[in-house]
Amino acid sequence: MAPAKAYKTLSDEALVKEAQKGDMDAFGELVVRHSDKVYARAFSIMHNEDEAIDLSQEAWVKGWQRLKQFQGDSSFLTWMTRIVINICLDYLRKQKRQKAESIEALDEEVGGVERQMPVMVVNPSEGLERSELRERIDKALAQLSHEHRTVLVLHEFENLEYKEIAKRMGCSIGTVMSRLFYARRKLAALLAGWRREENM
Amino acid sequence: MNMEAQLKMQAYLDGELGPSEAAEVQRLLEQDAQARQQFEELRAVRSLLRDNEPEYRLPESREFYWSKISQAIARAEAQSAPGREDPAPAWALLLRRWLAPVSAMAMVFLLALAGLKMLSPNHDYAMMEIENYSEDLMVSTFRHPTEKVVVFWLTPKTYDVAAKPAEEIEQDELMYQ
Repeated sequence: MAPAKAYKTLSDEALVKEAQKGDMDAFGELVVRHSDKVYARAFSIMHNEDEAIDLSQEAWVKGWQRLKQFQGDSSFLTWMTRIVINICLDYLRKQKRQKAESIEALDEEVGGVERQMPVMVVNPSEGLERSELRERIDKALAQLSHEHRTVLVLHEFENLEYKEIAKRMGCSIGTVMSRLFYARRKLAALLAGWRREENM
Repeated sequence: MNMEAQLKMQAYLDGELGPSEAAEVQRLLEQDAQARQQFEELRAVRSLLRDNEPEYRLPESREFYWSKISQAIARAEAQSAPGREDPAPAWALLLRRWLAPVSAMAMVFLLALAGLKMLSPNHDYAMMEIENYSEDLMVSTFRHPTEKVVVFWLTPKTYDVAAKPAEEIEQDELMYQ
């Protein structure tokens, strides 16, 4: 087993090999190295700090338990990201069973609302620093329902195809398409609206 | 532009269409200014998101975060450890292991038996027949199918037991010969 201090210089592949032999310190180094990214993916879906912390921790525990199944077909981070996404989706499914849908969410699901939104003609990123733009996008994402935000995250940030998103979310491809369409139009409307307010 | 056309346009943007449908959308975009405007909006949002994914940092120290994870792992491993001793003795374990399935089978067997018995034509729930050969003599015949007893009951006209439905006849109104 490599000395603890040397872990920082080891690649992910080498750390995974050590961790698969039962080296908890090697796994700990992987956690420290990738905690932000795994947490970030959980937060991008949940948009709730406490839930994102809990679910990302659950993902790491599961990652340790299933480490021997990791074959190296993808990067370790990609593998862990898939685990945390599945945990978040399972959590949302359980929550959805318990909560009644709001009228707004039902309206979004049924569709038609996005047709009333005017087409965005203003460039929402014009004159904005990157950090400001990211803040606005984050603020706009927070205004979407879990379902719409999740579709957007999986498609735009995880580059999943419609079919894969439908499988992960347990819905039809048609539902994925309409949710993605609504989410994009809503985001466009919000960003353009804030820009117009500033220009007034 | 209907919803189907708009979704097809989006699918075209996302590279999800086959060649013939993609060609169809291309023609629509060439001919329809509103469709082009809508398509541009979708493209702009897509690019904006992909180039500007918000960044989120873990809101607690990594060491604290890892300590909670390592404790959770230790707890999970303690619960699933193979050498963990069960305080119950071996016979109790065997009983516990087999009790539920054996009880379930016994219950099913008893229910099946009860059901068969009820459906059997010779069970004790068969109605007693009442035959009245003569209204003048007021003779009633009661036959018990399993006990093989036949009772003839002669009643005066004023006391007409035979006119009562069988289920209303009291036991002491019957006289066995």
